[in-house]
Amino acid sequence: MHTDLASFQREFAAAILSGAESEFDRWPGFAVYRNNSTIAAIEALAGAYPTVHKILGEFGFRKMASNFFQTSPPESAVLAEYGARVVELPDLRVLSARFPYLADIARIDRMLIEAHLAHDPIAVAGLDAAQIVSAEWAQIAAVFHPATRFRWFATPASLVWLSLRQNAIENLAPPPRGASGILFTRPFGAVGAIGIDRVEYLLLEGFAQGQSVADAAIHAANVQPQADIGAAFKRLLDSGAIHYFEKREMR
Amino acid sequence: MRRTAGIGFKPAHFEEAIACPAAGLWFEVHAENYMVAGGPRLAMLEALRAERPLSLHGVGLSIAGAERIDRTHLERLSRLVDRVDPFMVSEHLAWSRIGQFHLPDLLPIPRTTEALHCIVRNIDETQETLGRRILIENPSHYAPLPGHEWDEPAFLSEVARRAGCGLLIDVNNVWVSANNLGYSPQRYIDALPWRAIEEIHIAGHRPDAVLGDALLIDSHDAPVAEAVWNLLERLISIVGDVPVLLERDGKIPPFSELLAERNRAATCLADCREFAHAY
Repeated sequence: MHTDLASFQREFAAAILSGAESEFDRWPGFAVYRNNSTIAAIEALAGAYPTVHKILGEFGFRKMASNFFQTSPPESAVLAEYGARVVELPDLRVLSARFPYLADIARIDRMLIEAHLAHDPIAVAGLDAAQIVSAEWAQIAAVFHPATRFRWFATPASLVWLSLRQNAIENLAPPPRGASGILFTRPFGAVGAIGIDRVEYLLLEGFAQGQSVADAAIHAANVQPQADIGAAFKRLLDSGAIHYFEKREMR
Repeated sequence: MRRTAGIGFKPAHFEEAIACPAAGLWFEVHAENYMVAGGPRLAMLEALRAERPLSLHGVGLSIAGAERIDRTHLERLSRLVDRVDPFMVSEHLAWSRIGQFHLPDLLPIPRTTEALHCIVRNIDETQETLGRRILIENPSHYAPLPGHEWDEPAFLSEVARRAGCGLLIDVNNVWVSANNLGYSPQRYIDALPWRAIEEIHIAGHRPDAVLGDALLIDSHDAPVAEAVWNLLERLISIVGDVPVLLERDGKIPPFSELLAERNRAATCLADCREFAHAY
């Protein structure tokens, strides 16, 4: 008999999360609460990590997700946001022999959900590229759409992720090699993903750090002298990653 | 528009949902699925709201928690309510939050006077923040917890009286709980404080894989059982013409099948109105 509501709820929750036999297990129906909680958490994680789910398969993913739930239950009832720490699981390095960079693939799944749920852009009187003359780019900063997410990986995770989004896992043979980058945008409502090269990544990274468009371009050209900076910039413009440009006093 | 029978909205049915001409049709969504910053989910909800009445049904406020309501969660709900202006906001007589964690289920409580005080306090804070009355739904039960000081109809009645909230009665939950705990669902329905009931839910259930019909699961993944339809008719004959919602969360059939099932509920309500006019 529990003396108060708070102790009852603490012990009930502990019995659900531990998975071990508890005083509540004397009722067969208690298993329903444990199962409902675990299944809801697993389904939330499967929704947040669809590519990891595809790679691990149903059994492997459920096992990983169930363990994760017991050690890291949701901290919010908004389950679409659950599971940010899955990418930190040490297990992810060994769960897939074929994709040892599974943690990077999980990070990309996470970027997708972040892009999906991000704020809508606010209407502002910013500049578009056609309004800016060449001499001004040194004073122009790019402002990202709130849903824009990008990252560069030392692994081929981006290439694998993009392939797996379209194909069955069996079609990806042999897996690609080398470093890779990815960009998520949501210019017209739906989220889109494209692979980016090193120059495109350097431009985005420069914009994110507050560099002017000209400075970011100069830095990218220094790192990759053979690259067509103009073509890379145009591709980023076309992707919808940049919401608008604004004139700033640059340092 | 008079709201008769509604359907739990599924994004896969968006096109058919907004094009459906059924009179009195409305939709309900789980609030937590849309308590996000922006993006296509919210855009879809706003498009739906522009065409049809909408109700928000929360699953995560932990109204029956010993702890106070999570202010961050409540403020996010409040922003969603302000954004889509639902005709109804409802929650469950259940808890899910413990400290910093949220267990994603609707968990039971011993119905004690201490619990009653916590629940009334939490509903009060919710209604104050949202600036509107909410409805509280009866839960499904799977285990006969010890320590109850109140039976459930009397407890719900007292919650509604003290907090000034309304009630949402899920007749599938009544059927499932009565089966699992061994009481009469008809007597439960008859004992409810009918003046407080402002919405009714119906859904499907299934027997437990191991225990069979001895343990029914409120699974929302099957058509409404005949026994639940009978219970719905009994409740409608008592409370009259209140909005009825068909819930379906698993093994989702085509929209046309859900609509046919929803139309049966609308007919129950129409029959009730016709009967009422006979006096």
